[in-house]
Amino acid sequence: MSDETSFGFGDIQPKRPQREPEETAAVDRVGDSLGFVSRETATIQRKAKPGPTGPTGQFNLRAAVADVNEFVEWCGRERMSYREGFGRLMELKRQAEQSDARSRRTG
Amino acid sequence: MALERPMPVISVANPKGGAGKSTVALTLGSTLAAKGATVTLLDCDPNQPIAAWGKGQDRAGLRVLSEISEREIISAIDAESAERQFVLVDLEGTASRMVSRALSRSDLVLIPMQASAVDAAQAARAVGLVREEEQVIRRPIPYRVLFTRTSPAIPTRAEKAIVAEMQRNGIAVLATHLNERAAFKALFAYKRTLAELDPEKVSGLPAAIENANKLAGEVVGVVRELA
Repeated sequence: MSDETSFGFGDIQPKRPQREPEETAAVDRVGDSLGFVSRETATIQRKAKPGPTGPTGQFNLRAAVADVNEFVEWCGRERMSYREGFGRLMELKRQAEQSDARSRRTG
Repeated sequence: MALERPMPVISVANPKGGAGKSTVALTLGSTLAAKGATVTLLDCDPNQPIAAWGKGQDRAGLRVLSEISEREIISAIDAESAERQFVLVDLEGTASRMVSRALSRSDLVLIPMQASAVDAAQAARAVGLVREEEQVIRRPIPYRVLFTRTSPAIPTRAEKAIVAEMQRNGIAVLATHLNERAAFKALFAYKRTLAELDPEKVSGLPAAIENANKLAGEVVGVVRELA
């Protein structure tokens, strides 16, 4: 379009290879570790859906930003509330403990 | 037949405010558009200086997009880069996820800085992020530091010392600086491009245009070299 200009942009074309979408999560982790964190509260203040069963308790915790963001992203990716995400973590913990106990009994 | 190069996405980043990011993005974008390129300016600064500059105006070759969230930045860059020759991303003057995501989609990162130790420290932070992201996305993200608001006459002692230190540390620096010129401030004051400003009202306009052309020429040269 602009071969007539002194810059001659004719060789610069709007073509571009697509990049992998999954690299964004890795980029976010690197950015978080260097302090380039999300400034949009909506991304870390997702409202958990009310749970249908059992009594519930509540506690606050202060955690590393990278851990918080990883947890929030995991919950978002798996389409689960924080309550469900925390429940899954605890389930994984129980499974790991049972596995350890079995190993001790058989070993 | 001309060799086709992928069009460049150029992000302008420095976590420090006041380094001259918006002035660089606007000067570069409007100069490239004036030379015949199709350019999109993505205004990702919460203060929206370029959006305010371009509001209600229509210029050939120059598109200004604003109010882009962290979630939208990558798709906005990808969409614009599919149809425009240059996409310039003016980033906010803070360390944020918006910055890290934009850098991951960039073909060139310009890091404007004034010749001061405070600016140098924050510029180094941007360089650090670029280098870390290169490891993650497994491709180089070329960057160039660009000195802004420097004297067009004689470099100060502090400026020479900072340039020398950067060279010692292997940090790539553009030879052209964006000098301190009334015309670059007038861009925002009058909501005009350099070519549209009135030389009767703005002092040193020809020198500012020459400065902008030289900067655009060097950036285009870097883009071609990297392609």
